[in-house]
Order: sequence, then C-alpha cells, then structure tokens
Amino acid sequence: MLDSELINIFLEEAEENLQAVEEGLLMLEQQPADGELINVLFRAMHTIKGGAGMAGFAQVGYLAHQLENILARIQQDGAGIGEKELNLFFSATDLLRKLLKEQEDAGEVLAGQLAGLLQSLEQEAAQHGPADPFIDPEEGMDLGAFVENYDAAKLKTASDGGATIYLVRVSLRPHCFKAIRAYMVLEATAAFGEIIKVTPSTTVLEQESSGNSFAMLVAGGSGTAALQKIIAGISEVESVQLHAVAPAEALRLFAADELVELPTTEGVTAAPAPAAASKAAGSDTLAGTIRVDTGKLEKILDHVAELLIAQSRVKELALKNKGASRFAEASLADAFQEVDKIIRRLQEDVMNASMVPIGATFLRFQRLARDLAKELGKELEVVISGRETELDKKVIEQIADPLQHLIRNCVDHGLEKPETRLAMGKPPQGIITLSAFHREGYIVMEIGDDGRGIDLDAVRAKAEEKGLLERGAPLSEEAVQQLLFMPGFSTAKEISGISGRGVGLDVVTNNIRKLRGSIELFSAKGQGTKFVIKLPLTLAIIDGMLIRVGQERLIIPLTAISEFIRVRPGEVRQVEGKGQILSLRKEYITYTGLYRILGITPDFTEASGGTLVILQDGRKKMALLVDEIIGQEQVVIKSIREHLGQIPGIAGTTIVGDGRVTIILDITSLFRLARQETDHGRPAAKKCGSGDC
Amino acid sequence: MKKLIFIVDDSRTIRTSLQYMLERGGYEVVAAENGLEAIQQLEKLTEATRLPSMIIADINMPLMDGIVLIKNIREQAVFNAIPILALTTEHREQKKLAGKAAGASGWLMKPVKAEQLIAVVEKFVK
Repeated sequence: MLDSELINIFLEEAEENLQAVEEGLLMLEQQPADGELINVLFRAMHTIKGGAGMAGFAQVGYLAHQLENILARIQQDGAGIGEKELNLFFSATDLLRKLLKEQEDAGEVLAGQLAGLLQSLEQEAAQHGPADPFIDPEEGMDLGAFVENYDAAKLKTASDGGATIYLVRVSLRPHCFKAIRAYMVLEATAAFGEIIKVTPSTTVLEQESSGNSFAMLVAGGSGTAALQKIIAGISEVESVQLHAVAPAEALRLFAADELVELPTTEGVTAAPAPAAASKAAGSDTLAGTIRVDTGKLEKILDHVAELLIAQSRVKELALKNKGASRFAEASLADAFQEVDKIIRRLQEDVMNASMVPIGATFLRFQRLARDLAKELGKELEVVISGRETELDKKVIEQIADPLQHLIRNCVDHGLEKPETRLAMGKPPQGIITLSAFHREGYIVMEIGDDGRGIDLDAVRAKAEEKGLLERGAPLSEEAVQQLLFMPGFSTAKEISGISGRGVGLDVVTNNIRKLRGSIELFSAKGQGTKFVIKLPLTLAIIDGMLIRVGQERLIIPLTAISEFIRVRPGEVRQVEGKGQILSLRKEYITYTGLYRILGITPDFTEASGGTLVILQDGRKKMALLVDEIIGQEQVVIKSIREHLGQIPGIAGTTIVGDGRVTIILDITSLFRLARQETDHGRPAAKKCGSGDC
Repeated sequence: MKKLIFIVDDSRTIRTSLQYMLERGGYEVVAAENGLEAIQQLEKLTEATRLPSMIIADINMPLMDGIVLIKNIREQAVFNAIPILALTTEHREQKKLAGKAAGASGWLMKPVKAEQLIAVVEKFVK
C-alpha cells in the first residue's frame, strides 16, 4: 500500500464524517439539546482526528481534536449546543474541508483562517475555566507528543527493568542493497535487545532510495561489544558507532540524530518530496473514484458469466448449423436475441455502478441556503426529498454549480424578509424545497421557494427598457421564461452581491444543456417560484432513433421524440410572421425541414413527401421533416467538443451498428436553430413581443 | 501458520493502516468495525478454531464501544488468554484505567507508527 492509498482512504472517510457533522449541525439548529446528535458529531470528529494522525494531516487532527473537546464539554454540560458554538462548528467544518482539499498545503489565507478559528476555539475553551476536565493544557496540543510520550514510556519501562539504552549509528557502504542490509542489521539488533526507535523510519529504510546511514535506540542487557561485533559482522556495513546513554537523555540525543542525519543524507532528504507528490496525486485520483456497493458488482459479474455462456452457445450453433435448415437459423436468431438481452442488462448494471445518490449534494445546498439566509436576515427551512435518488457521478459533479445558482436565486430573490412575509399573512420562515426523482428515463430535480414569485411587471418593464418587448404587447408565460433565461437579463431591483448581477440563469441554462437536460420555471406571484430540471440518467449512452435526410444519417435522442406522423399536401400552412405551422389535434406546431436547418440536399422538400418527427423539449414542440426513419439504436456518445468545440445542433457523434460514424442531434439547440431559420436570420430575441419565443 | 491479529476500529483509515503495518510485519489480520461485529467475528473464528493471537480494539466506537467489548471478551474463558490492546487517542489516565479495569493488557496511542506497533505486538505475542 502506498501512502497515497492511505491518504485516499482517509480523505474519503473524512468527507463522509464531515457530511455527517454538517447534517448533524443542521439538525441541531432545530433541536439544540439532542444528545444523540451531539454524540454523532463527537464520534465523527473523533474518527477524523484518529485518521488524520495516521494519514499525516497534523492540522486537521489538531483542529478535530479541539472541536472534539468542545463537544465533550457540551456533552457533559447537557445544556445543548449554543448558536455561537454552532456557527463555530460550521466554519470549522468548512475549514477542515479546505484543509483536506488542499492536502494541508494551506496557503496564507487558510493559515490565517486556521489561526483565527483556533483562537476562538481556545477562547471558547478558556471561558469554561481550567476546572473542566477536558481542558487539559497538556493534552493534544502537539500530536507528535503522543509518540514522544510513548517512546519515553517505553524507555522508562526498559531501563526500570534493568536494561541499558544504547544509541547506535550504522553506516552502510554506498551502492549496496541498502534495504536488505538495513533489515539484516535490524533483525540482528532485535535479537540482542528491544529497538525503541529507528531513524529514518523502517518504512523509509525499506526503500532503496534511503541514505547510507541510520540510527537506532536499543534497550538491551550489558554487552556493548557483542552488539557492535554482531552488526559489524554483517556484510557491507561500513561502520558502527555505539554508545550507552542515560535513559532520560536518550530521546534528546536521538532527536539530534534525527535532525543531523536527515538533512545531510542525500536519499533521505529526498524522501519527503515523493510523499508530498503522492499526496497531490492522491487528490487527483480521488475525484475519479467511487465506492461501489459490492452487491452491484456481483450482479455485473453474474451477467458477464451468463453472457459468456450464451455467447458460446451462439458460437456452437453457428458452427454446427452452417447452411443448415431454416429451423436452425431460427434457433440461431433466438440465441442472438438472448445475447442481446444479457448485454443490455449488463450495460444497465455497469451504468448503475457509477450512480451515486444526490443526498450529499443536497446536504451541501441545505447548508448553503442556511448560510445565505443568515447573511440576508431571512428565516428558512429546507425541505429535502429524494435524497436517495441516484444519478451518474459525472452528472452530479456538473450539475452542482447550476443548482447552487438556483438556490442562491431562491433565497436571495425568492424569499421575502420575515417582516414582509408576516405582513403578507405568510409564516415568517420561508421554505426552500429540494427534490429529486426519476421520471421516464430522466432525473427530475426541483428547486423551489414559497417566496414572492416572479414579478411580471418588473419583467415587462425590464424587457421594454431593453427593447425586447413592444410596449403593451402581451407577455406569455413562455416569453417570461425566455426572457429570464436570456444572457444579461435580471429583474433584481437591488444588486445584492449574492445573485442578480445579470449573469446567472443563462449560464445555468447553458450548463444544463451541456448535460443534454432542460430547465423550466414555474412561478406564481406571491406564492413562489419553482425550477424544474430534467437530466438524462447518464451522459454516456442514449437510446436514439436513426433517421435519414438525403445521404446523411443522423440520430435523434429517443427521449425528445413524441411521435412520427405523415401528412397530406396542404396540411402544413404558411402563417404570416410565424413561418410554417402544422395543426396537430388542434395544437399548432412550428414546422421545418431538417434539411433546411442543416443545409443538406434531401429527397423531399415537401412535408407530404417524407415523415414528420414531432420533437418535444419541455413544453415546446416542433415538427421536423426527415426523409426516412431507419430504426431505433442504442448509441454511445462520443463528444466532439474537445476537437471541434460546441457546434449548435450537434450533441456528439457515435458509431452505429454498421460501423458508420453518425451525428447525434442536440434537441434544445435544434429548436433554437429552427426558430432562427423561420425568422430568416432575424435575432430570435427581437420577436418576444409576439409571444412566439 | 502466520499469527492472527484481530483489529477492531470504526475508522477505515485506522483499520487499513494497522492491517497494512501488521501484514508487513508478518501477521495475518482480521478486522471488524465495531464491538458487535467483533463479537460475531470472534464467534466465527472460534468455530473455525482459529483464535487470534492478539486483539487490538479502539475505545470509542458506535454500537458497542471498546470498553464493553473488552469486558464481553474477558467474560468468556476461551478468550481469556488473548492479550488485548486498547487503542486510544487520549492519554488521560481515566480512559486507560477504564480499559485496564475492563481487562485490556495494554494500550496503544494513536497515531500508531509501524515500528511501535510491531514492537508492542511482538512483546505480547512472542
């Protein structure tokens, strides 16, 4: 096991414990005297402290230790946790997280924060007087002291038992197998007496990179000469120095050895550097790892075994029945079907293995909402549902920022101040809801508040001011949504520093589009606002419909297709100012040809010639003419963004069954392109007044 | 056959590092996350007539803490001869005495270094 592995285990565990702490703190805010919650916090801090010591995170260990002390005191007092302490713990949690993230390589800012927090921790402790059994000035001030004391205890036991303490310095010849020789010396010495301490540590000595010399503190019977002779007798030992030392002086003398020997020996001074490097490497790899429930993996392995069996059956059949009867061919087809089924299941399970619950992310937001509310003098309760909803780890990572922005929006713009709420007949405490659930192959996330809702008059005023809306023109719900998600559009009357600087919802929309998701906004004045985000379950695989336009074959994500229809000539009509419209079951749908959007020469330019794909994106629909529907395919998306940048209308590429590279269409941007196309190049935004945004 | 050391600690970090150190020191290791799990594991080991040569138990653990665990172990004659090390982060005499009263053979302070661990384990196991 490398150091970096241990560090990774520690980082993961520490993060789990920090989450438990945060969750506990948020609950303690509601019920500050809950002893069980305080126990949970105590245990989490305790585990962090213990792990930090092992993984070499001294600052984390020290901070956790101080927090643990405060918790122990609270436990003893039994009076519950105060607001001051709660806030202290919240900031301590943040700092611990930062220290872990920076791998303790705390820059000046962190160091300052650390010093500040430690000071308030100490003040906190001092207030309760030295009589408190936990405020032991000796205790835990220096994590190294634990070890020191341990060594001292060992020395004392040994010398009390009549042993002599020797300080032994050994030099090895350069270019020998140092690790082996050092091992032999240690073995021989251990047979002679108890080795109390070695420097550099045995771990370093085991690496060939270590220096040529090392020192030991040995407790043994008399017979100095004997030990010297034994060690000197080991081949490639260049020299042995051996002194009997007073037990009380031993550690001090040895420490001098540690100080002198370490920096002067080339190999040993190099040792701390790789350790630091592995720490850094550890943090990089951590982002890419998840802990997977073994049950999930077992299922995958089961399916792989089934797959192999089914495949060999297919192979056998194929060989046996070459050119045989129709019956044989039918059973071959059956066998293939079986293989298909298993592969699909396998793929679902593998996908499932990279799914993690959204709970931890929601917890972070609960915390964020709380902090913001405090800052803004608002009161709120965060109601979370669907914590256990699982989604692809990559999606969670990428959705966190947009979600955060929306929550800021809800707390800052949505919720009113307590006095305003009371005046409106609402309870003073606002409610922020966070929920996640699965629906129709998508993950749906809702972020809502019960605040003031969107002020349509303010939206109108702003839109008119910016020339996006004709004065007095009707403002449809859809148009409002379009305006709010438009770059640079903000209705916040005061710039509060938290949100409302005009960059926001458009960035959110873009991020969500990148994930092939969509966002919708529902709002009622005085009752609140709700954002509904729809995301695909995974970024990697989609069910697609393979279609053809002229020579081109393209994939449309299945989730965007509501139906296929064929129309008779004349069913698509030209409407002044709105382009071409199809009337479908009394609903008017914008019509265009995919060939027009993409500039391809098609077989058919008339709607009645080919097939119309009815696309749906949120509440918007569009009828898209294609030449032919080829069939359904499950495809793995290869991003082209790294190579070509984001191209409007294209989500990525894939390789379909026959081996051809095929483009996957991006539905949301396709709607935008279609609108621009029907607008004949006029900027889409200018048309909002007509309600056709 | 390698000697078996039984570790009980609720922290993954501690379990992993102790296990690594002991395995490098030539021991076989079995680990449990808390007192309850430890009792179950010990029962299994007894059935398999593979008793550990030593038990290293953390004091502060959920479900069943180290003190209760040590008491429970000591109540059974079959485990009576097994040395138990109490693992702690606090060097308060009170805790150590509690461990001793429960039947611990010694204590070990976290963070533990490999050479200390092996030295202490050897002292008891040899």
